[in-house]
Amino acid sequence: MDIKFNHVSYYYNANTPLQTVGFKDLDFTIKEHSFTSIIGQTGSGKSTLIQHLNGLLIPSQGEINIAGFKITPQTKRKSLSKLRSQVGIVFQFPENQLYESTVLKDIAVGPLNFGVPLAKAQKQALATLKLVGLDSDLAQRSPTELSGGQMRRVAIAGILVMKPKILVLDEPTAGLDPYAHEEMMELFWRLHQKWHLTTIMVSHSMDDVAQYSDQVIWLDQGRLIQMASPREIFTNNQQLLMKPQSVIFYQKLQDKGLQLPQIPLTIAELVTELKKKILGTTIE
Amino acid sequence: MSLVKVTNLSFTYPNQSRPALKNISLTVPQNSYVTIIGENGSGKSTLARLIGAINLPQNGQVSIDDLLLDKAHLNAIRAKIGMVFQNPDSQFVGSTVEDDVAFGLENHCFPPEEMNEIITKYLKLVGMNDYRFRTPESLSGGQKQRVAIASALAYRPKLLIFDEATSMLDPQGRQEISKLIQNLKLKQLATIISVTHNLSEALVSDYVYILNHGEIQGRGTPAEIFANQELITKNHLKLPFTLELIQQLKKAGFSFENEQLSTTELVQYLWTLNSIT
Repeated sequence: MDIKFNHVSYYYNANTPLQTVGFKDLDFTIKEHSFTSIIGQTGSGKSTLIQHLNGLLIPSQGEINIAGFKITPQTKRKSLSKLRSQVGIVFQFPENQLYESTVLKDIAVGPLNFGVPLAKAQKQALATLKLVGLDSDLAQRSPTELSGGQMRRVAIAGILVMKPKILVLDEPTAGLDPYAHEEMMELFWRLHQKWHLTTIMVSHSMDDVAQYSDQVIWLDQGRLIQMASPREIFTNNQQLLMKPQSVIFYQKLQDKGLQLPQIPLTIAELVTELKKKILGTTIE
Repeated sequence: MSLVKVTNLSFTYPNQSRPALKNISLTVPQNSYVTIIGENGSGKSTLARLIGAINLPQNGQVSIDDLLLDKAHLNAIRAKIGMVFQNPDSQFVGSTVEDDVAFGLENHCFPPEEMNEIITKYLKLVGMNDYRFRTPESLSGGQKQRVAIASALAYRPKLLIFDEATSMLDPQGRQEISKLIQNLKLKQLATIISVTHNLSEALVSDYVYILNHGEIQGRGTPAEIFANQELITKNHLKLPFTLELIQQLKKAGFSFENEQLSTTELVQYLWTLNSIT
């Protein structure tokens, strides 16, 4: 089922003198099973937006349709607990939210809260531990004994164990080294395909945005600037500050007068196009 | 002259069987900018904490400015060192930007009448003087890190250690801080050790050590390191974009006499190739 935002606005401290805009008049549809990235500078409303996806925040105006739920300003948060089993949100630096005494217990918190019997919850937790690429030996260890990268995987397992249909990722690779970064993105991509997820990712890494997304939502100061494919977003948008590295490089080639048929979103595309353009005519 | 000498240093954390550092030896010349690079869990932060006199060596020696790091010299050595850590939020101790810089000065017993001038000087240096009465929650991550740098520099340490100071910042904040570190190096304000997993930050330093599994796997100038593909791959590092692009173009059939072109040089090279074909 698609996710629909129908002229949704959110105000912090609504109806008080301190009222400020979280975001205003967002109107868009996110297709089921698609991979959508949300980009924008700090303060653009990205985090406010994702908190609406599982009812942590309720809109001030408009209507949201998500996973069979209709959320309006009149909706009571309590009525949305079932929604939370279907929408998993991995917040920024999720490893800071681990608190149980063992890895297994921490992953099993979600299922237990939703009434799954202990033995079954632990079994699910163990399976999810393997899914995120961690050794089952770690199950009985304290999360605090693990490395930062391992802790993040445990925190992510705690979300995945609920088998969400919609997975929301807030800066999932922040602070990881390049290798762990790549592994993490590959894990999400694999799950996205295998579980037919609808994935929504907030990211500052324009390379990831370009590589993985079907569509990009670009916010600025709480407004929707553009919703389009990555190629459209990264073509000719002077006011967009961050771009994929291959696009930045291509712009320098263009400034010199070297044109390619379309902007390259990844280093692989850039190499392929350059090969066609420069070597293609000389090698027969 | 070497400001930092590390000789056969090993370190094992309590309750761990595997050592975090094994037999490390390195030197850091006065006024140089040295990068220590490695992936998460390589031991690089442990090394930073030992050179930074937060932990004491178990085996082997660390000496800073010709003082041996031991209990007797701990305070004298710590006065020579400033550190900037990874998390912008966990190292901001003052209630305002100005207080944060003053905190370190008070700890190092600077006379109160000199403080105002020193605070202004270092906040200007990091471009944060206009924010001196602001509270930490009104600052971005990059701005908080700049304040942390001013606080660390204000008491005039000889050695400034950055322990993954950019890894929690967004790309813009990361660029800001990298530029600022280069600027400090140019002004020769301190000897700089930067611990990072970001290979592009190593490009501008004088010398690079690659750490993995608690051991030094490679060392050299950035050019020497970047020329060693095997070393880079084996240690799970990622080449800066332009150098990676050159490697991939090479695989696709392009030939390069020099594989370490700058971005501008590579653009020029490709443009020339395109014009003659």
